[in-house]
Amino acid sequence: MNTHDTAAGAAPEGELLAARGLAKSFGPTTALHNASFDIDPGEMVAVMGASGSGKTTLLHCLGGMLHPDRGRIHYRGRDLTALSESQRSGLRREEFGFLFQSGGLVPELSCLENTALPLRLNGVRRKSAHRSAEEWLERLGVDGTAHQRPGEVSGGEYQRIGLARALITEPAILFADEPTGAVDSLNEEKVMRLLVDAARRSSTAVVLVTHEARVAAYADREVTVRDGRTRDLVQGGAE
Amino acid sequence: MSFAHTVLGLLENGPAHGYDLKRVYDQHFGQDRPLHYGQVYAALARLLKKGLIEVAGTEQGDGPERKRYAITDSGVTDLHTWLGTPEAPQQYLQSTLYTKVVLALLAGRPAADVLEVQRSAHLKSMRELTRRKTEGDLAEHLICDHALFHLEADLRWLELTAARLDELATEVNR
Amino acid sequence: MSGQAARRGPTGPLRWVREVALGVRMSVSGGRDSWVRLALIATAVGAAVALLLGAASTPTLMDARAERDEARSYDQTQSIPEPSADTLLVGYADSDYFERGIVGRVLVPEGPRAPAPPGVDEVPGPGEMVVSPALKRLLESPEHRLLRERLDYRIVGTVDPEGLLGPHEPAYYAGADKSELSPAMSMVTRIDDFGAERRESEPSPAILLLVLVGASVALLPLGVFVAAALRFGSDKRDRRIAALRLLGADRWTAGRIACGEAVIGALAGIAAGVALFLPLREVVSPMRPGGIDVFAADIVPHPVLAVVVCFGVVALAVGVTLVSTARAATDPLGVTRRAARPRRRLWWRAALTAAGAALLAPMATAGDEFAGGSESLQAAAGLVLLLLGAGALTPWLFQVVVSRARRGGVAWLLAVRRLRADGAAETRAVTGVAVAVAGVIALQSLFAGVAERFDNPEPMNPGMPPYTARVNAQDPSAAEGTAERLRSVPQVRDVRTVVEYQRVEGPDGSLAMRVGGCDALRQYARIGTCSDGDVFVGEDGAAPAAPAAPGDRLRVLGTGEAASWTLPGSTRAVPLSETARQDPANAVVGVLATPGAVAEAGLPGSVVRASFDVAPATPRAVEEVRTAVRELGPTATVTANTMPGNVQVIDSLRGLLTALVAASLGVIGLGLLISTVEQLREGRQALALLAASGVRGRTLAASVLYQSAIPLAAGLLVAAAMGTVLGGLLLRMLDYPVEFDPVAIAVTAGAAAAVVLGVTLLSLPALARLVRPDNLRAE
Repeated sequence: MNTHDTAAGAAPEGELLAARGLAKSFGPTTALHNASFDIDPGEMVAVMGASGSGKTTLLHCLGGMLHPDRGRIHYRGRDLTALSESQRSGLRREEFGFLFQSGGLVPELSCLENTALPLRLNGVRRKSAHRSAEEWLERLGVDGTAHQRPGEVSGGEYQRIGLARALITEPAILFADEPTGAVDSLNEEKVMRLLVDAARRSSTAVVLVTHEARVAAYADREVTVRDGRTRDLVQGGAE
Repeated sequence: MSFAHTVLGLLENGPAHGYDLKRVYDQHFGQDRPLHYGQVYAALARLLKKGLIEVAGTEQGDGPERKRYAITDSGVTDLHTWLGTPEAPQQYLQSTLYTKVVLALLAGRPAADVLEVQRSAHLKSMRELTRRKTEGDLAEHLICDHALFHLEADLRWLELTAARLDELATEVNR
Repeated sequence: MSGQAARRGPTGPLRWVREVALGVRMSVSGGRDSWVRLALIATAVGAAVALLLGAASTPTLMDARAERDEARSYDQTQSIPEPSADTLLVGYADSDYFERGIVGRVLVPEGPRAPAPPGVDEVPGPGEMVVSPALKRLLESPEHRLLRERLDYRIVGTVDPEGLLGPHEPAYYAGADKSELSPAMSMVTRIDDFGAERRESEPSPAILLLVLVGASVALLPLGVFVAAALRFGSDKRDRRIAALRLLGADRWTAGRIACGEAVIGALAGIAAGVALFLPLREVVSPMRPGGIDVFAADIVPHPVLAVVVCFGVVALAVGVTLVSTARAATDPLGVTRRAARPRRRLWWRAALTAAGAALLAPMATAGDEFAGGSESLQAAAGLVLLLLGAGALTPWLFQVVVSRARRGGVAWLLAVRRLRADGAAETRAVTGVAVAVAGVIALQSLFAGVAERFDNPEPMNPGMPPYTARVNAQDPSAAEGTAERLRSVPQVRDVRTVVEYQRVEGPDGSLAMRVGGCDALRQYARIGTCSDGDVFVGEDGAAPAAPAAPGDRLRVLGTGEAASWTLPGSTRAVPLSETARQDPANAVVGVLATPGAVAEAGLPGSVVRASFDVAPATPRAVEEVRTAVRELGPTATVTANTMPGNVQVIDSLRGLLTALVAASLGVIGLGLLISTVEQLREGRQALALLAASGVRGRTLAASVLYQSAIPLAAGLLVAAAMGTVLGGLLLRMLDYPVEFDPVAIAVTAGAAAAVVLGVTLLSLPALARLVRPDNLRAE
């Protein structure tokens, strides 16, 4: 297990994504104070914290959805905070995948179309996008839902479709925000196992935001966010 | 948990030798520690004495004599009662960890570190259990889950206590 | 990743098309809800488009009318052709019948190839006539016996639509004997073909302004309304856009996808509008809303305007979408979190209003009257900006009201909190109403001012008697018969007749001559003492000398042989009367002679002009006079000495605009109903939750009512203020006194309130259905 220094400084070599000294406020509320984060290619890191601790804001900053007030985020050596909005959009589209608690599936599209959406946003032709979406749905065991709408499938299936959609572009990083927040324990396990399995197979790094230890336990290590600050877990005691 | 009741439950499937009982037990429950024969025979002796089982036959072999045991009607009734009685939920009213935290607070040591170290250990253990369960079969899976849920409960207590440390400190140092 | 670049599809337009197509797909593939939403948009936009297409038909309609009008006209200024087998004598024989103008011509073919007027197969023979269907209906009904007596011809056919301006126009063509018409007669001419160019008269500035205001008032709310309708269900769309943005669609891609969704709504709306327009125009013709008399076939949208309407709707859809999704596109996280919306700002709303006022103010304060031309453009721009300002200020005021609202009952609390949280949809719907009401109030003020001036027409010529009859006579002695016939009609008083010769050639040019008794001649000049045998020459104060002097030899032309006559030595020069000087028709200075003076001259026949009064001037008595006069000749007419035209124009304009505004409000009402139901549908889970937790249905209904009533109150407040200001500005532009009619304003506001509240009541059944517990389930 790697030991990461949380002190400010240049991002170490070989890291996929590294953030230093992030701060973000929404009006009077400070969501991030001084947060840092690193992840290696293929690594799976859980971001834990109580609700309101700022973990989702951290995820949004890391995923290029939010622009931090202060701090730097480097992705493969590129400074995310220096990119234009459309460059960040492109990065999100092509190199990042997202899985949200509420799934974020477009209710008007069929599950197949939802899955194919990121590819189609990248300009891939409908036919080949759908072919690839079918493969992914099958791989995650939800190929039966292809022509149903997201509103018609069960919670577990919904998240698996969301996972298929997040992974269809074979992203370098998957950002998962409470991916099992809305499903029961049994489905939680199915979703997590599929997630871990798929991520390992395509050596996708995973940033897993969760407040549940059982979910975090699937990760390689944990980062805790408390009051907008990050701290890597003390590797004492057991080691 | 009563070990004798486990033996009784295994015998309900049909008469068995002491050796068979040990093997079946190990198969289902003995992941961590295999049984000693002595434990089996001690349990059988106790059950015989209570009349919950009887000797169904004896086979003379090369080694020691081998008795086949069978469950009696009163044994079936007893097993039924046991299965139907809920286990008393364990109450961890005194825990070592709590003692540690209070002692740290009294001594003016960083109690948060005590909790943090424990949290880390718990999480590490949970990660290992998770790995084990993803690799193992269903039985392994269920057992790991049981442990995981318990560890998770501990973790929640750790987090809650961490959030209330200041409160606790004023109370303890009053 | 290197593989990513290779997988990238095409860029540029092709990709855009795909993105728009994706939007289209999303807007139609959301199952029942999507279709309902699309149907709602299509209905609302369709209703507006149908109305706009109707308005866009006005130019074609006017052209078609003008074309047919020209086709049946004939040129009287051109030289008269020689009689031949191709020629036709036409006498002007229009008549008025109880406020209805009847178009009439008397025809005498001079040969076998004489032309027939448009819509008439064959020129009717003497004593026969062809009539329009509308006149036929009039003549057939027993209550119009008086008219039947007046048009005492045998009906032998009908005038086809091509010879009529509208299906309800009363018109006839009568045949006459050769002896009854002569091209020398007044209002009679010889033609070899029908068809003439007619010059349009410039509309009066007041009427131009009325048309401008009216068109803005009637059409602008439709635009606002279409913009609102296109945003039905936009909450969901915003969430969709936000989801796409989070997936990595950039702002423009998201915008294009949203546009795809909006465009499909706009296109469906246009299709619905066309589908609605076709049957609607068939209805307009027989229903005559606002007194419009048009053929359904003439209601064809002007191609350019039709394209403008269609493109306008699509462009509006795109524009509205880009503006309304801007938030979702720039701050997708805010939308998914459903964070509070930014406060509405006052400055641009006030700026819009101020710009409008600034455009109108110089015209209002300048001393001269509104002149049309480039000023109409400025006026229209100012109007539109002010009205849009009313629409823009409404949401702002609404927000102020809601944020200041103090506590009340549970229903009030629920409504205010709901409105404070969002309220965008509610205000959008009411904005159209605010614009419409502001416009209507302005229009009413303007109408009140203009109508006051036109509704009390002064006599055109104060000194002249109120009625004049003109009869073409073959013989000067017909003056006697005319006078007698008139006197025989009850209620006719004060009959004075002259024979008018408009073409008299003297040594110094042409002049006019009137022969009549002393009494009758006094209308034209201050002749002093007079007895039969006297002759006078009118002398205009401005002209240095009389146009004729004693001893001048005059050649008098009329019907039949021209005659020569020498002015006797006793001829006196007399000053013209005040009334004669003011009346442009009498401005030709001329000779005034008593019958005794010309008895020996053998003068030809000419127009007998009889002036008289009808007392009491009941409409029935006037019609009886007209019928009596028509006995004296097919081209004999009676005219009233009042300002013609404008009253009718104002009335028909008022009717037309009232119809348009009513239709506009109707469409908006429909849209409100749709949007209220739509909002209820969107909020059904919350409503069902409230109902499930024991909130009474009555309370919920009251809260829904408040939710419509609060934005409405804000809208009406803005509208009343804006409308009065605008009305004042418009009246000032015409230099009319600024007055307001509080009752009319209250009635207008009340009508708008009734529309909104009625709509809310209509939506209550939907509410009852929506609060059923099965809606608790999430979508």
